[in-house]
Amino acid sequence: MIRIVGLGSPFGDDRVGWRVIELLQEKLPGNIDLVALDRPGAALINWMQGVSWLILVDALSSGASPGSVVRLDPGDLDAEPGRLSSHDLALHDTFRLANSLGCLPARIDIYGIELGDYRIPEMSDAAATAATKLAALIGAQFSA
Amino acid sequence: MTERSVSIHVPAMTRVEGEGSLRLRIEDGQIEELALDIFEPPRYFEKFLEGRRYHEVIDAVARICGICPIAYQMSAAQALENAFGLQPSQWVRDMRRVFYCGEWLQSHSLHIHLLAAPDFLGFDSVVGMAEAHPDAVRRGLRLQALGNDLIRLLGGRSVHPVGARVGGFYKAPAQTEVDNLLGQLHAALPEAEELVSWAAALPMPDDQQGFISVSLRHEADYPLAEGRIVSDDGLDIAVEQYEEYFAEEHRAQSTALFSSLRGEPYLVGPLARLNLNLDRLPASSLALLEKSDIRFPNNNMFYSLFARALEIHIAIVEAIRLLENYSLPSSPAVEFSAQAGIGSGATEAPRGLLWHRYEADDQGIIKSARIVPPTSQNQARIEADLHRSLMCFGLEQADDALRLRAETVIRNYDPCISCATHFLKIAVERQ
Repeated sequence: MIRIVGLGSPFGDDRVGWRVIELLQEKLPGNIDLVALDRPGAALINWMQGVSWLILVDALSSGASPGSVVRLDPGDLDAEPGRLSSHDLALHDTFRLANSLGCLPARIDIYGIELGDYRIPEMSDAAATAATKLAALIGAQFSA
Repeated sequence: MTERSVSIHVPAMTRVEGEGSLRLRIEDGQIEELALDIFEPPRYFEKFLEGRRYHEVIDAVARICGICPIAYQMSAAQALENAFGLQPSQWVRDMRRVFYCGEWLQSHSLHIHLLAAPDFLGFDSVVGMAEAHPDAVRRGLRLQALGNDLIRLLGGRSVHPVGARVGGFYKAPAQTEVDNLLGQLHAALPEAEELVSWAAALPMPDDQQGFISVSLRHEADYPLAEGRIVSDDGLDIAVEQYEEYFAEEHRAQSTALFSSLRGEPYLVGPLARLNLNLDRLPASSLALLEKSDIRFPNNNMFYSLFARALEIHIAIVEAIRLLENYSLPSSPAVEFSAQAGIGSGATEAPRGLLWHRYEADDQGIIKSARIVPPTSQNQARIEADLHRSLMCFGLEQADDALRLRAETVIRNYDPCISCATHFLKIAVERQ
């Protein structure tokens, strides 16, 4: 199964992962599972069962210009050990735990959209435009 | 004993919430200094709330903790209702209990599986433990997800939920949503039973120690969202009398406050709750407890993990009982107008008693706020436990073994340093 997960929260540009899922709902074939999750932490593993290809979309804060889109592999994530706590099971640790449990999808693509001004309650134009662009990019991979 | 001087330093304590450290100085085989240094910045939540409207308090205090927002919301709502002379309906009281069951489920499941169990099975984290015990970890993740679903039923979302308000809830869930959750809860019940047996079989150090247990006590049920404050040394007071008996003090090394009951450290949390409320257990949870070899009341802090596992079972049984009698209310909240007053509220957060007090003016604007989280109440007890546990373990043990034992002892309390603003580097000095 192919599953695309938008990660986010209801606040400003942090919603951008959910926006990409909304846009994909209109264009993807039904056999691709689309999910929007609110800061799931370790519970993300529950969404990896039986998944061969996982695409994650999340907002990112790297210092790049707002609305920039980057593609990352799990191996690119910060692997600093010792941050395993229930408040913040980092994505890297979540993948390690999924691997131990034997449910790590064979392929994982991570897309990050750079946040704009996080103090604005509405989504920034830069993030909204990037969401449209990324939805088209992901959608194109599944069109015949 | 041969004189030696050793110092070790670990970058930060893992598998607890927040930032802090432990200083340990051993001289001639005696502990000369033992102190929890807490260095998260103070968070000033009580000051933020001054000047805010009462309804903002419920959403603001949810941000104190990502793991137990409901506890903060429920203690605050109760305190403000007391300030306004408001009596929530039975439907509201029942649904608050269900809402709270969701939080216990998700918080306890995470603590047992991600944070505590690796200590007792000989792994440095859940990642290694998951390879040897995949079914247990998967079960924990499923129970956690069920807790989140239950929170979402009444809170609208599982992170910093938005469904609660002073007087009740903004919206009553539809019967179909309740029926769906009931199906999931029934399916999870055998998993919770297995979890209790699994927790009872974990190898635990034998370490009985004396301490005072403090918790809420409800007239009929296991305590969650309401009750009187009781202890096993005879305390039995109303929530508003808290400040007459409990004191908080600053210590130089910590940004959290240290609490005491009549000048003594005390314990709050799952073990204290269970010790004080054995006659309030649902029949099926009591039967599970009696089937295990562990006897209660119990003064071995390591059985806190077992107490959490049993409370997961209690939470599922209680949520089923209350949701099976669900009906749509005429209104999900009591209507009222704000009035000037002072009110206090106390509920049982996953980590223990959480007490709030607010003073509001006749417009419902907050004049003053006081929040006493469970971790600050346990802080003096944790230090006392460490002192005793490390002596009992043997100070001649290697630094790494001492550090692991100290961390394991601290994790029994599931301290939420971020809540108490507050966690663990360890420095051992030997002379």
